[in-house]
Parts: sequence; structure tokens; C-alpha cells
Amino acid sequence: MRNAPARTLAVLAVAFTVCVLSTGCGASALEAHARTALVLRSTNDAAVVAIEGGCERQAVAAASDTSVDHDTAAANAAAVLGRCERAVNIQHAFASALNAYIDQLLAVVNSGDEGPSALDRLKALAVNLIPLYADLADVADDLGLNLPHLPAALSGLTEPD
Amino acid sequence: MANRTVVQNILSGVAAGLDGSSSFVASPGARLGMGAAALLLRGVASAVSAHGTDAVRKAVLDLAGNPPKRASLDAARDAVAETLAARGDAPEAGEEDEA
Repeated sequence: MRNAPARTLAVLAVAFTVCVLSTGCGASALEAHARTALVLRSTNDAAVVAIEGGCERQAVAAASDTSVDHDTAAANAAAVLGRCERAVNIQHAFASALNAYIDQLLAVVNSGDEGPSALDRLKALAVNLIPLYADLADVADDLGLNLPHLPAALSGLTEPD
Repeated sequence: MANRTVVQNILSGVAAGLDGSSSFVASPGARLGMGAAALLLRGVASAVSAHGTDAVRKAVLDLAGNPPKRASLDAARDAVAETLAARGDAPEAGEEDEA
């Protein structure tokens, strides 16, 4: 399913790759993390739109299927919503991890401490996002929703110095 | 006339300092101009750096003020309920309770 949110996500993924992997602009590590968080938040918000919209379309399609009786249609719609529930739970886990990353970013900015330990904590939180996003992309794929696979791009930020 | 020459030398020194030329260092006025150019460049660099820091701070504050969204299936559930209720074969109200 190639819908507008999916296209937006694909564009964001490319922008994310460029942002994170670019090293010639003299950006500090903190700037790179801030850009990463901005792009991930946009990607997360677009994923929310894709999941909510895709789930509603599929569940309503199952509920309105006139080739089966009412009870079967209701059961099919419930099954769709069950799969969507799993996607939502995974999206919430990703959003929580992203929030923790943003909180740490805010703490660094407020304290002015850009020392190795503070940046290591940021990097650890970024690494934590990789499997969560992979899960989100997988479960969205099960629903026929295309989310870009970000971990490869994210690894540009999380590689050892 | 002499003042005019000094001013010209200073201005030439600023120009030489800004374009990186080191050929114009003969007069005190030119050296003063070079110094002014260096200060000007340092100020511009400092302003750019401060702008970058401000931009990061602004971006982070924006992030903190607008946390990541969380998906909800409430609208989908409502739409499914409405769709099922609107079906021609939907059970009448109370029919399910009796069953």
C-alpha cells in the first residue's frame, strides 16, 4: 500500500539518512542528535497517521463485507482490530523510547554538558530505538503499511566514534 | 588630505583582511584595518556559532513541547460499530440480547 503517509515516510527516511550521515557540515554531535530526534518524531507522527488510517480502512472494509453474514463480518473486523492493537502497542513503545531520547536531549541542552558521558547516554537511547522501529515497521508491514526501515540510517549515528 | 589617506589605508586594510590578502600591510592604517577585519570576522564567526547553538536549543525545546504522537484505534472502533449497525442484516435492537 503506497499511500501519502508512506510516501512522506520514505522522503523522511531519505532526509534522515542525509542528515545523520552527513559529516561535512561541521555539525556537533548534539546537532546531529537534535536533527535525528526531529526526523524520528516526524516519522513517528506519520506512522501514527498510517496506522490509524490503514487500520480504520481495513476494519471498516471487513465490517462492510456483504459476502459474509453480519456476525462473520463483525468477527473479521475484530480480528483486524486485534492485529492493529499489536501495531498500536509497538508504536507506543517506540514513542516512549523516543520521548526518553528527547528528554535526555533536553537535559543536555539545559545543562550545557556535552561531555562524553552525556553523549554516550544519548547514543544508548538512540540505539534503543533501532529494534523498536524495526518491530514497528514489521507489524505495519503485516497490515500492508509501508514504513521505511530506519535502523540502517540510524546506525550512522550510533556507530562507535 | 592626510586624514583621507589614513582612512583609505584603513579601508584597504579591512578589505585585505576580509579577503585574506596579506600583501597590504605597509602602513599603520592598513594594519589597523587588518585588525578591524579580524575582529569583524571573529564577531561573524561567533554570531554564526551562537546562531547554531540557538537553533539546536530551539529545536530541542520544540521537541520537548510537542512529544511524539500515540496511535489510537478509537475512531476505527467507532467506524466499525457504525458500519455493522448500518448493514442490512444487522440484528434489530434487543435481538442480540434475546439470543
